[in-house]
Amino acid sequence: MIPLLQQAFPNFRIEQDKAGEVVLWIPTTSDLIPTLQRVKDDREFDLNLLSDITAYDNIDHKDGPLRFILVYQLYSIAKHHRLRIKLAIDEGVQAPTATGVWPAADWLERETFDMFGVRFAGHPDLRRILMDERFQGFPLRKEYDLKDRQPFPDAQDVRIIPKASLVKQEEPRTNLSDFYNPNVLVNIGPSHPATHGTLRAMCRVNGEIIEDATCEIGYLHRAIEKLAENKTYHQWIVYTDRLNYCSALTNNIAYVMTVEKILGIQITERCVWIRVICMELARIIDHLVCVAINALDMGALTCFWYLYHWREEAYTMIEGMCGMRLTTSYARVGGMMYDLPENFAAEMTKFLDGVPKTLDDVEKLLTSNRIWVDRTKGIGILTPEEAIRYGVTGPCLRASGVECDLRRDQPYYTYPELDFDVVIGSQGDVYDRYLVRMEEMRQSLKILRQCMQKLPAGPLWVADRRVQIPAKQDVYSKMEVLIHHFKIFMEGINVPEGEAYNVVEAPNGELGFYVVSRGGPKAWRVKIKSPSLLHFQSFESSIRGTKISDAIAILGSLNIIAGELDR
Amino acid sequence: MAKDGSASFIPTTLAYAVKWAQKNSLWPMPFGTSCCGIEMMSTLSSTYDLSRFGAEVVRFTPRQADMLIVAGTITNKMAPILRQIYDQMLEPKWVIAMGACSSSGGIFDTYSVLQGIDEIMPVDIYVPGCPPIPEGLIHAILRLQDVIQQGEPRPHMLRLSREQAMDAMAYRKVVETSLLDEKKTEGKK
Repeated sequence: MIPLLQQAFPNFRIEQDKAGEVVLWIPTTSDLIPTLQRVKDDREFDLNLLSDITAYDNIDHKDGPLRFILVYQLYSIAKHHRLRIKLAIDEGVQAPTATGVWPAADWLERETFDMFGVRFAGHPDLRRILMDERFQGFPLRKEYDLKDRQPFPDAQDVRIIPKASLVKQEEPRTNLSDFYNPNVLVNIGPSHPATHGTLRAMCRVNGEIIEDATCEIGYLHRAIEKLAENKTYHQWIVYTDRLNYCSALTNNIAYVMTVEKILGIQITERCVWIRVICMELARIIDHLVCVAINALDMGALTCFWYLYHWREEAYTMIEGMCGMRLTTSYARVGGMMYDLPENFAAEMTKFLDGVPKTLDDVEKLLTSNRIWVDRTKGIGILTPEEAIRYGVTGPCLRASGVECDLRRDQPYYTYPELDFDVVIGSQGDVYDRYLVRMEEMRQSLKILRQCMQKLPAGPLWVADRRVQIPAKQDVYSKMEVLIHHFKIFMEGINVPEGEAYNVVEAPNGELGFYVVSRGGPKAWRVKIKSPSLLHFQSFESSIRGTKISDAIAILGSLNIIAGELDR
Repeated sequence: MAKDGSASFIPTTLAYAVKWAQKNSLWPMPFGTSCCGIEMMSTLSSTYDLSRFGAEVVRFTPRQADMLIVAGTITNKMAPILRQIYDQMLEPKWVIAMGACSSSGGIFDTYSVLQGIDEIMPVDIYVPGCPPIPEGLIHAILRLQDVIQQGEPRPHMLRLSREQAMDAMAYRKVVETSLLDEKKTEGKK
């Protein structure tokens, strides 16, 4: 990759980060778009998927004299490699927009504007996305205080600025007998049974057909990324639970993996296997919830009862592992908080035997059910090209027929040793997403079975004094250990300067943590690449031309989790 | 009803009968925004089965519900919507703040999060936990039933009017600066 880049861009600075990933520095703002276009179109690079656009504050000028560093994360689905493109930009200078190269850049650039105040020249709709439009200042800049809450004196207004395209007809609807006036706005959410949390869509409808729609997010923006800059690496693990709360274990592990990459730690064999078990268990839970809720929204209540039973069983298992049902905080940098409980193997056997039966029952109820098929087949179709352009990942991308599974393509941990299939759909509609999720659960069960056989004995913690949390019995009896324990928890672990972007195949799609460290116990910047943000962005275009009830089906099948959408 | 099936009288007061009916038919309006919403769904689902306590008729329109369960973080952006829903509910109405976030802001003491819904509306029951286990929510509902049955005085709380809630949403800065102004004028005197 590096020789290719040197050949293609001879004057650009090329670096490697702590994890060995390639970073390409763009010298001037005018070079940005041609470079992005080139690495996207050039068959040598073929970086067709835009993972993320973000920025970090360079107020300490460690990365040059300019104030902000824009970061573009790219991935090649065919060639399985990644490239990070960076551009330094000063305050008040406009960056060129990448929306012409990838439509997915739209919301990502809006978020960068909202959080840092970096403006993008030529962006079609540059306004705040997570914060209220009356909000003053840019919260992720270093000078903005974490607790600086702002007054909104007229907060009782529930407002939305519709896009210019939303209301097309200039004549207002004054004549009540004009039944065919298409200028009717219907607001869905944020408190709506199908939005599960805090999503909002404003639709212009003509009869039942949605002609145009715009989405509003940010109703659950809890400043998790800002908190990452104010908490130590260990303290922040609890916040990762609350991103995708249906699969908290995956978030925990993905985050500590990133920190371990910067530290250069190789975790123990047993720990690796436990983490794989956790991630697959989380995948099953997440898919169970997604299918159950999707069916529930369309009135199939029975599946909800069936599937939730096994989710409860899984939670009981997780409670045995770490003491909490939902917010697990199980992983630690360099190990896990506890080893697996003694009865884990027996519980897992029960789980592995029981779930397939329930899955069969649910398949009998849904897969050939006339109502279900009518309501899901051919609805919300995402073509492969469209899905890639919008940065869709995970089961939704695979349902569109694109073979992309990071467990296989960019293998981490023990996935190369495990035998599993990558599940692919063909149509990219709601029905295929449902089928892909059902089959993925079966594949995960297969992986879990193999893991339980291969799970080795041995130490759980890496023998590295920088991160290893001392055993409790030693803390109470030995002075040095007590001091060490105190220092780890009061000061935090010291992470060297550097950065890493680590992705895992989370149940929802590609979950990435981009951690920039400037040394010390706290991160300089943590960016969470959540699959839900890009999925919800594609929702806007995929509901155009569908009926309102179809929009509900599509929303359920995308599995948007507000916690990781708004962060 | 007597053993032979003929109707008989149950001596009671109307107030008692009304309370009995109210407490056993709490219709929840679930306002689940985040993690707590998932546990609330668990409470409603088969294993925990909230219908044992007469509170399973979930109504997503506030006008048909009398128990508002606020489950999850409420941000500044969301606060006016929550207050709107509270105002739309008919009396009598009760509010459960489920979880640390809706009770106090929880671990999210940040620029965008409301520090407890009691800043904008009265709360009857607070459920601790992050998130509370389903038993916790069930306990809260049982406790609320006691409150209704015994006619206990509602917890001491600010019965905020809509205008006051609006002021509260305008946030502490306003309060603080006005306090500062008072202090300044006092100092001048």
